[in-house]
Amino acid sequence: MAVNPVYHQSNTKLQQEAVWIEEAKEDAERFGPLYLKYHEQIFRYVYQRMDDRELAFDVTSQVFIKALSNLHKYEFRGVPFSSWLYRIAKSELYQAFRDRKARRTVNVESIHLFEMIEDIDDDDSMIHKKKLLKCISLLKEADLQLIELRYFEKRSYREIGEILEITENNAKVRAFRALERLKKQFLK
Amino acid sequence: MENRKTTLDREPISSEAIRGRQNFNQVSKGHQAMKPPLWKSAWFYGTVGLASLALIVAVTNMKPSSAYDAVRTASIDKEVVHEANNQFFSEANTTMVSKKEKAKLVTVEPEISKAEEALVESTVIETNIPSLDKDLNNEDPMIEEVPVVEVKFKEKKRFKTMPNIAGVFTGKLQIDALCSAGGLSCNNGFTVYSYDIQYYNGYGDVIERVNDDKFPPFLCNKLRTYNLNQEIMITNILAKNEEGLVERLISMRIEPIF
Repeated sequence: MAVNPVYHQSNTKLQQEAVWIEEAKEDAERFGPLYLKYHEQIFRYVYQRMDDRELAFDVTSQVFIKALSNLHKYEFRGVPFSSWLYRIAKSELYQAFRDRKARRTVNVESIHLFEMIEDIDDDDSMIHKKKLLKCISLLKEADLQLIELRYFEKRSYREIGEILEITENNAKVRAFRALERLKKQFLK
Repeated sequence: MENRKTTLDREPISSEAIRGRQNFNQVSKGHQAMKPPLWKSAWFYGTVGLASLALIVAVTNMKPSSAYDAVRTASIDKEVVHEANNQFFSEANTTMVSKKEKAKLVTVEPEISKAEEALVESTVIETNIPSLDKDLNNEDPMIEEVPVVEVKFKEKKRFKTMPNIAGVFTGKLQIDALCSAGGLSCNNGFTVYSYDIQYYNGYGDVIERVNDDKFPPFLCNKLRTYNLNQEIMITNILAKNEEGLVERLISMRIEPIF
């Protein structure tokens, strides 16, 4: 399965990012390059999980404000800055859900569904597609997150681990188990 | 999940639309708004706390020591006494005396000369200074202001000229020595030229004015006859020096003996 190539960056880009971060710690106005670089990624992450576009933009702005306010706490660990931003985005998203400002939404593309059905069953009929959608909507939140990150957003296990603050191997195991539960539900 | 919505093949949003909504200024303003006020920052508390602590320590250390207190108290006492003296001497028209000291006030005879007046002024001041000290130290001074005489203070009138007869200022003196000696003499180059003598003449106490420094023969006879072993008073002793300066000397009390 192809993965999202945006996450993977060369060492040069990572070092450049580290310089921007240090400059932004000294002067908040120097945060601009990081904002421009990651705004679209964070917005798509947020918008993938809610159905209100304007609210998704608001939440995205809130993510960057929080990031800028807490930048002094950030420590560069050799992974992209986006991992930290995703964690803030996840927190802000669930805060929006708790405040009932937004509704949790699972956005699925048909092509991803067919890929999943291929993994689960050889039959790719429309009946199976509807059934799979229903099964996905019934998944637990933790399993749904892993399915979304891995199969709908095509992220690597390493990136999933960074976002969920778990190890790469743990992300792989959890994603496999989530898929097994979906399969069990689907074949019921 | 009960509140979960599933959407299949939602219309994708383009990257251009997302970039069109980028607004870093909004993020910067939001960041500024989220900054805590200065008085909530750790820097503020640290600075104010340290400053307060330093102030308290400084105030505590500024408390004077007991030795300093003693010196300061002594200094203040001196100042108070000095002010009292100044106040006393500046009051030219009045003299402060206690009721107890009223009887000791010197009255000035109107017919004395100007030179004698100066002597009287000196005498009055010298006798009243001790009374002021008494009054200042007295818990119930009963002080009142009594106009006595216009006194102009002259510091230079403080001679310690003492009269004597054959070296005796007061006390017992043989009648022969009293009458045969050179009379009243004194130090500081002064010569007695007049005095009053109070004695018993066989009928009662009398005061004779003698315009000489010697004892006249009739006075010696009276003293030898009626005043042996009895005190006689020699008062109002006037003396002058070579420059003509006149001074009233302190009174003498002599007991003639045989």
